[in-house]
This record gives sequence, C-alpha cells and structure tokens, in this order.
Amino acid sequence: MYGIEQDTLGVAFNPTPTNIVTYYLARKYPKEQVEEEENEQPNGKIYINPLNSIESWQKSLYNDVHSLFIQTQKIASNELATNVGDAFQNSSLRSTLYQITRDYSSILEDHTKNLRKQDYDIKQIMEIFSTWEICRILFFSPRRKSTDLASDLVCWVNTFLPPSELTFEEEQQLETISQPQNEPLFRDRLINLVLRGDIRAKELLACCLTGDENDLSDRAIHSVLQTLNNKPQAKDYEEDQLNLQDKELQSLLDVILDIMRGSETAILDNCFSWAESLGCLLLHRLPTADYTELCIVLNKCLEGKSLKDEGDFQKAIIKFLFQEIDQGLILCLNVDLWLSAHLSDVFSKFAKIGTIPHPKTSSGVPFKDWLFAFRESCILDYGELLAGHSTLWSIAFDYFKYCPKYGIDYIQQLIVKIPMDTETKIHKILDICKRYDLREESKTICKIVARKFLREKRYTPSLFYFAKANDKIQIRLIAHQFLNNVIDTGELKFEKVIESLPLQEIADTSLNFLSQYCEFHHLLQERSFETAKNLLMNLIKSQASPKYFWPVLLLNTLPLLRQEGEKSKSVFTREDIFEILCILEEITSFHENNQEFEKSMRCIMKWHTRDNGYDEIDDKLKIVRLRLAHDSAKAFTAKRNPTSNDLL
Amino acid sequence: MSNLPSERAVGKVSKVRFAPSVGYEDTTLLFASGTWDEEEENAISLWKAEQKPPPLHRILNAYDTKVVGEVKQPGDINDLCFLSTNYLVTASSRGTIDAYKLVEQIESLNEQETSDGTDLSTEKIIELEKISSQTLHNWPITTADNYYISATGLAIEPDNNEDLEIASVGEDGKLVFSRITDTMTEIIDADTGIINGLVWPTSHEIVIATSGGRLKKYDRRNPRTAVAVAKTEGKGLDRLTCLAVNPNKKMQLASGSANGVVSIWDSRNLVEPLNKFEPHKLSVWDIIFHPNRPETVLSCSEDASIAILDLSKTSYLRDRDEIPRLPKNSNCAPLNSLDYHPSAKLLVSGSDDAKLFFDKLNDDS
Repeated sequence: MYGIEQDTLGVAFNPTPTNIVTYYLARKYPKEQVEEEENEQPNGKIYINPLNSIESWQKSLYNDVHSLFIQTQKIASNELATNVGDAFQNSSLRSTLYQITRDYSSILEDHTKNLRKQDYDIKQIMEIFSTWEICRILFFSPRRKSTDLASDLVCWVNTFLPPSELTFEEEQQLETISQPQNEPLFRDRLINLVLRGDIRAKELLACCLTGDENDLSDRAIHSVLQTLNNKPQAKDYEEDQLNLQDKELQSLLDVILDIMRGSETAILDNCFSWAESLGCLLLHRLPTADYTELCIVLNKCLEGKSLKDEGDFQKAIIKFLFQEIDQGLILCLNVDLWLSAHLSDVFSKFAKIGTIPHPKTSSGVPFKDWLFAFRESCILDYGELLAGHSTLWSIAFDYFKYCPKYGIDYIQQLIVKIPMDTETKIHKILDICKRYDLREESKTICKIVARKFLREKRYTPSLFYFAKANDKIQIRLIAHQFLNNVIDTGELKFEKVIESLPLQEIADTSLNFLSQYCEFHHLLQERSFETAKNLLMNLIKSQASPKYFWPVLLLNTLPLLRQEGEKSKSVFTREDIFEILCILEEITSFHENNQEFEKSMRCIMKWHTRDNGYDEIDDKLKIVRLRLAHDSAKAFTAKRNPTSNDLL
Repeated sequence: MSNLPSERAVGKVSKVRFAPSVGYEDTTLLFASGTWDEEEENAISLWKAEQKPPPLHRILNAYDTKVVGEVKQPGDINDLCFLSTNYLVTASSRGTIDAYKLVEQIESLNEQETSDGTDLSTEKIIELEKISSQTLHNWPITTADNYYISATGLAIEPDNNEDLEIASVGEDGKLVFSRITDTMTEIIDADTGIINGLVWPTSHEIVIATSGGRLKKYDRRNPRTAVAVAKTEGKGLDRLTCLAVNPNKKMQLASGSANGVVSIWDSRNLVEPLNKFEPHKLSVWDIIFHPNRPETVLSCSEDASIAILDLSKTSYLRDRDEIPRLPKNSNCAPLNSLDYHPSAKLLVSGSDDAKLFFDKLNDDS
C-alpha cells in the first residue's frame, strides 16, 4: 500500500481490537512553503485498515458452529478420558464424531442456501463447504460398501462442480434447431450430461429422433437410450458397431457409448477440469475404486495439467485426495481460518481414536504430534480473529479454552484488550475472568474501569471497581479527596456516594471513617447529641483520618459544647475533654509552621464564619480551647455544688 | 419440559419479551427480541410464533417462528417492553427511550401459479414505526469518554390503561418518569452509582436495583427520596443485575446478582432477603416469576443455563447441582434474557451466540 500524496509518519497496531492496524499519514511541508501557501496547513490523518474483516454471513456461521465446537470438545474429552483403547467405545465415539461432522455440514449447507437466496457471492463458502465435504467422505465417513467411496466422490463432484447450465438463449436456440446433432452446443451439452450420469441426457438425446421407426438412426438412438436407461456397469456390455449414414450422429453416439464403456480417453478428452475427470472416471470406469485406485485415477486426471495457476483450495483438495492430510491442512490455512481450525480439530479427534491414516509429515515430526500442534495453532489464530471482532469477541475465549498449551496465555493477553463500553460488557468480561480464574487480569480490568469512572467524576462506581481490584491506595486517595472537599467547603458532598457503597464488603478504613463521619452529622441534625458525641470521640480517638483533617473534627465538637451562659447538660465527660485538649495541643504545637496544616486552616476559615452560622475562628483554634475551658469550668462548678442544674 | 428447535437471531440477543396475550387460547404468539454489542446498529425484531396443528403421534406442538418486523437502532437494546399489543418501548445504551407503534401491513411476495391462474402470494408484516425517542439518560461532564450513558431498565405504570407512564433507569443513577405522548419528564437522582433494573409492582411503588447491591423503594407520589433501602450481603462485592416482580404476589420480588445469586424479597419489609439461592456460577442476566406457579422463579445466566427455582424449598444457598435447570444441550453461550408465555406454556430465551431457544414448560414439569 502506498501513500501517494502524503508521507507516512508512523505505523502502529491498535491495541484493541487486535486485528486492526492503524497507520498514520501526515503531510509535512517545509516551514517556508507553509507560510507561502496559507491554505495548505500541515495536516495529519489516521487511516484504519482492517487486516481480517468478517462479513455478516461469516459472523452468522461462526455463531452457529460455536456451540457445536464446544460440544465436540466435551464429548471427546469425556469419552476419551475414560475409554481410550476400548474398541467398542472407540467405534461409538467414531459414530458420534461422524455425526458431528454431518452437523457441521448441515450448518454449512444451510448458510450456503441462505446466501444463494440472497444473491450473495458464495465462492468462499462453497470452497469451505466442499473442502469439509471431501474430508468427510475421505476420512470421517464409516464406509459400508465398496462402492461408497466412488459414489460419494461422484456426488461431491456433481454438487460442487455441477454441469454448467444453459442460458435462456442457448435453451431457445436448442429448441429451434432441426438437426441438433450437428450443433456443437447440443453435442457439448449432451456429452457433458452423459459424463455426469445426468438423467437429462436421455431427454436431450431423444431430440435427435425423427419419429420414423424404420429409420436406422432412430433405432441406433433408441439402442443408446436403452443403454443410458439401464445404466449398465462399464464393463458389462459389449461394443455395438453402429454404421449410420449421418456421420455427425454416428460420432456423437460413439462418444456416448465410449463414455458409458468407461473409455479413459473419451472421458478425459471431454472433461474440462481434473475434478470433473475424476468424478466421471469413477462413475463410468471405477465405481468400486478404493483409496489406492483413487490415487491412480487422480494421477491420470492430473496428467498434463499444470496446477500452478490453481488456488490453494484446489491444491488442498488434491492433497486430501492423495491422503496427504498435513499438506492439505496447511493449504486450508490460506482458504479460510474457520475451516483450518475446525477441520484440524475434527482430524485430531479422529486421530486420537486411530481412524485416520498417519502420513509422514514433511518435518519428520510424528503425524499425531504435528496434528495436535497444528490444531492448536489454527484454533488460536481463529480465536484471535474473533477476539478482535466487535461482536464475536466473547466466543473467542471458548476456543482458547480448548488449546491446552497456549490457550490460557492468549486469554490472559486478550481479555484486557476488549473495549469496555457498558456495564453489561464490563461484567461479561469479568465473568470470563472468573470462569478462567484470572484474578490478576480481573483486577487490571477493574482498575481500568475504575479510572474511567474517576475521570468522569463518578465516584461510586469508581470506588466500587477500585474495591473489586483491591486497590486500597486509590480508595484512600479518593477518600482524601472527599476530606479535602470538606475542608474546602464544609459540605458533605460525598454523602450519597458513601451511602450507595457496600461498605461492609469493601471493608476499607478510610471509607468507613467517611461513613461514620456522615453518620455523625446525621445524628447532629437529629439532635441525638449523646450518640453523636460518642461517634465523634471514636473518630477522634481512632486517628483514622489524616492529621490535616483534625481541625475539622475538633471544630465539630463546638455544637456539642455549651455556649457561654447556656445551662444545658454537657455531653462530654472529663476524659473526653482531656482527650480533645490533647489532640488540640498536638495539632497546634506540632503543626506550627506546618504548611499543610496552615493551608487547611486557611480553607476552613473561609467558610467557618458567622455569616454561615458558625463561630468565627482563628488559625490556633482558640474558640475550641475556650469552649472546652468553659465546659470544664461548668462541670467543675457542678461537681462542687451538686444542687446546681449544670451537671457533668 | 422439552426442547424445541432454536431460531437464528440477527445478533447477540439482549432481551426477549412476549406481547400481552389477547385471548386465553393463543395459537399465534407475538414476541420481540433486541440485540446488543453489534458494531454499528442493533436490531429490534418482532417474531410471530404460530402453533402447528398437533400431530397424532406427538403431544407437544411445535411452533413456526418467523420475523415479521424489524427495525435498526444505534446502541445496545438493554430492555424492551410492550405497552400494549400495539406499542413497544425500548431502552438503549445511548441513553434513549424509544417508542414504536406496531403497524400491520400486507406485503406482496411473488407471483404463484394457481389453478385459477397467477396469484400474488402475500404475507402480513409488522412495521415498527418510531413515534418517539427521548435521550433521558446522559452524562453532562464533557471529560467523559463518551457522552452516552446507558439506559438499563424500563417499567410501565401498572393498573392503568391510558397514557401510561414509563419509568426508566440508567448507568447515570437516575430514575426518570416519562410518557410517550409528551416530552415532560421527572428526573430523580436515585443513586450515585449504576442502576441495573427496576420494577413497578403497584401504582405507587417502584423498586430499583443498584450495582452497589442495594434495593431502593420509591413512592411514585413523592419519589424524591427512597422510602426503604435494603442491602444485599454475601460473598465479596456483589452487584444486582436484574429484578422481577411476582405477578401473583405483587409484594414479592426476586433479584439476580453478578455472583449468580437469586434473592427473594418482600417489598413491604425491604431490609434483607427472605430467601437466597445460588443457582448459577456466573452473572444472572434475567429473572422471571412463573405466572401460573407463584412459587417458581426462572433465571438465566452467563453460565448458559436456565435455573428453575422452587421457592417453597427454603434452604439457604442451596447446592447448585440440586437445582433443576434447562441444560440447553445445544447451547453453550451465555443466556441474556428469558420470558414465558402462560397460555402457550412456551419459554423463550436468547443467547450471546445470536440464537433464540424455545422450551415447552408444562405445569407438571
């Protein structure tokens, strides 16, 4: 691919999805040129090129076969785990596996029909289907009769390389001509139908009849029709010597009879492709061919034919026909990833029960070992293709699961790269992690999601996912952010966030502190001073909050301390007051000239004003000291004078 | 209990819902399915399931199912419900609540030769005519990666036949009341987290399920604050994924969770669950009460199974293996939604590998 107008600045693989390559093109001009041409500013563009696109029919096919693939793995692993080597069980497993190959065929057939109905290009699915079918015939089918192989192959040729149909114009042309045997179109059509064993050959040949019973030509045609009708075996009937005046008809009937006799020359001369030749030779010459004879016939069909220009599909078919399974499977990789993955999987299952030939591999590795490794690599490739797809990503992991060597590595690598747009998708991905016990990956995903929510300032889901990731540091950072917000504004903006979280399950000290701090304010509002005081004292004593927040906690004691002249009962005990004084002393002395503390105090002093309904404060929190002294004095007086209403 | 053939859907099925029954003996059923996770547009499909005449040798009837209407819509279809047999409402991951009118049309197919000459074969199709689309769930912060906030659930005002109100919830934590006939909405900040489901059992009572594991009950007459909040407690951090109301006992609710737990609640005393089951290994995606058997709950899950729970067996956290389930021999993909048609006794479920499964669930099953 060339950039004609622009220079390539860089190229990079997009991390998600995996099958997309992104390359950057940018136009860069010398500075002077840019200044001259103001309109031509340097611009940058990003082009995205899908390496492996999946068409809608493929998507539908991949979805349809997914469950069948998993069932195959389950059946095979269950039966093979218990019954390896048991002849009876192997035969039962073989028939089950054969049924599975038929199920795959049915799905392929169904999809082919649907595509045909919708006038789609069916070339690729036909290649997949025909490769699948040839393998089913050659390697998976439990053959019962000696004629099964040839008849199945003839059927395969007729299904996937059907005789070409006449166009409407050609059909009309044939209907109007008086002596059809003289027309090349008619001859070709008739010979082709005879080659294929197509019943329509009789109808067509009957067109040559004149209707005169005494006519020698008619008698000859009737005789050939009789032969076609009886469909005798190639070697069962003798050569009839016809001597007709109509030489064209004579030659046509000769060719037909030669084909019926199984004349190799007649068949090969009249076939257009090696596959057609193979089908016709099997039909007319070797209907009971076994695998050895099949190879001989195939060699004859391929004689003088160059396969250079043939696609990998044709080459793969030939390799399979020659029983070179490894070569066939390698070629299938270039036909379709789905095909190579599923075909190698089925081959490996049959190989386990020892029902397929074990050819020598080109690498010298024992065939079974080669096959199992090849299967895994194909399934991994296929799974990777799915994992990069926006919709099919979820089934990819079911394929990796059944790759014993590298499957789990692929799952670990790819699961964190799936784009997470919605909550449902996030949990689908987390469920996959759970299924494969991927704890670290699960944590990574939760952290990614939590950070995304944090960027959006959605603290509840962010904290939830940080908690799921067990990321205590991040939780503490967010909690500090909330505390800073209290210092800045004096408001509990995080209250609803804390209420929505399952704190018991999260079990984090900083979040629990925030929850209790909210609870304290609730109690204060409800005028439950005693309980509020107890909670506040617990918060102060626990020293769970950072020290820069202590001034706020100390200021929160003010509503619970008696105002000057107020005669209500104090809620603080002497021990409480002593504790508060200690804390007060610590922060005012320890934090003297401490920038963090000073900053906190400056912020608090902005909102802790008389206008906002609070007492005016200074940076040494003298008001707290004063109220505590007042409260203590009242308490002391009360102790000395028990008749007083002021009781501690 | 028997498995009927499956049908291919146009994409990963997110929701399936039957249209309300017209008569008791329905031979033609209408249901809708929605898809999710499609690259460009998702589809809402209307299906007709026609009962075949019962063959002599079989007791069970099969259904001929076919798509009779389809409409594409951007975003995942997270929820859908029929307002009546003629109206369908959907909630999408783009935050929209869309309403469709079902308009029956006759479509000519192709010419057929009959004894009387050439005849035009026709088929009834249903056009889904969009009558309203409101973005009710969005996120105003511009730093957000995307501006869409998923609408996750829908509920329709019960016990009312005219100008029904729709309640919707979303990942923005809002509970929004709207009508398809006007653009006026009432928005409630119900949770600071994500809301995954809601039910509207009685005209005044609405219950939502949050991803923080809370059930919150609201009074429609004064929905600003929750009148009751219940917390789920269990192993680890669990989130509620779906919610259902028992049509026979409106105060009975069932919730499903991401840890595979199904909890039964009494909405009158929303403190802790009455009963807890653990039928699934992975997320429960949809849950329904059996309409004819109030003691039966059906749940479907990411673990590709449908569990059939008998509430009369009160054992806490029952052994998964004891719970009867529809194993779906032919299915290995997560099941995202299910619905049951009471008179046809037909259970439909939809999977992540784009299939709809049908099961006949007899009363004696």
